[in-house]
Amino acid sequence: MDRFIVIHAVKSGATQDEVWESSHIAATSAVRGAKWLRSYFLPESDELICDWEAPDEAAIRESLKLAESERLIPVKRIDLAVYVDPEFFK
Amino acid sequence: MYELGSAEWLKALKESINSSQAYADAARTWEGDFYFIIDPGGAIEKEIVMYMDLWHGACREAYPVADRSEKTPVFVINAPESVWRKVIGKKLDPIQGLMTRQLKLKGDIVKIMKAVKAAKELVECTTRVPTKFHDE
Repeated sequence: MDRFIVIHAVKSGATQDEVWESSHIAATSAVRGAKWLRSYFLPESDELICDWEAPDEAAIRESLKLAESERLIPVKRIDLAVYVDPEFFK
Repeated sequence: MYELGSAEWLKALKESINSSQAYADAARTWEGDFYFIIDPGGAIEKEIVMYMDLWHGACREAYPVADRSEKTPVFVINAPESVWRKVIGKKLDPIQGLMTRQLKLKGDIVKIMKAVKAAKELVECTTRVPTKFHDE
């Protein structure tokens, strides 16, 4: 399984319930082996950086479509990534 | 000690905010007033509604209101006292509390998420107010 970093633009005007519903679907109903691992919101740049595990980029896009996240947090970029952990260097 | 949500507690919080350079810096562009509401439950029979007008790094007004209809703030955040206690005790990050709906929000959540530094400094200000909780 590969790792991907998904960068979303974050738009103003979302309600708490909209954000929660979309996040809940992404967390519980991702498809074809895709798994949302964690995210960081960057308030200075209005971006959400998400770490995913998936067989390919299409599985992530399919999962995000199910979550209907495009209106709230449109995807700016999806990059294949290499995971590096400080534990590797101890 | 001041009881959470009382006029005295809010007056002390306003003073704490207005004497915090860290809050002034973090919230220098913030515009937006709030209702912070403690939900009924346990020792609290009727909801406690705190009005706070936060503007450009200062607190212009902070007082309890008898009824939600008195003001029309941009943001309304409500939660049981147990959750507010976690926020004030820095056991729950307020932004994470909003994301996970432990704190219920009416208003633009992204505007608040962008003000993460101001939110953290606001919590710091509450920690400097000697607080008595209703269930104590």
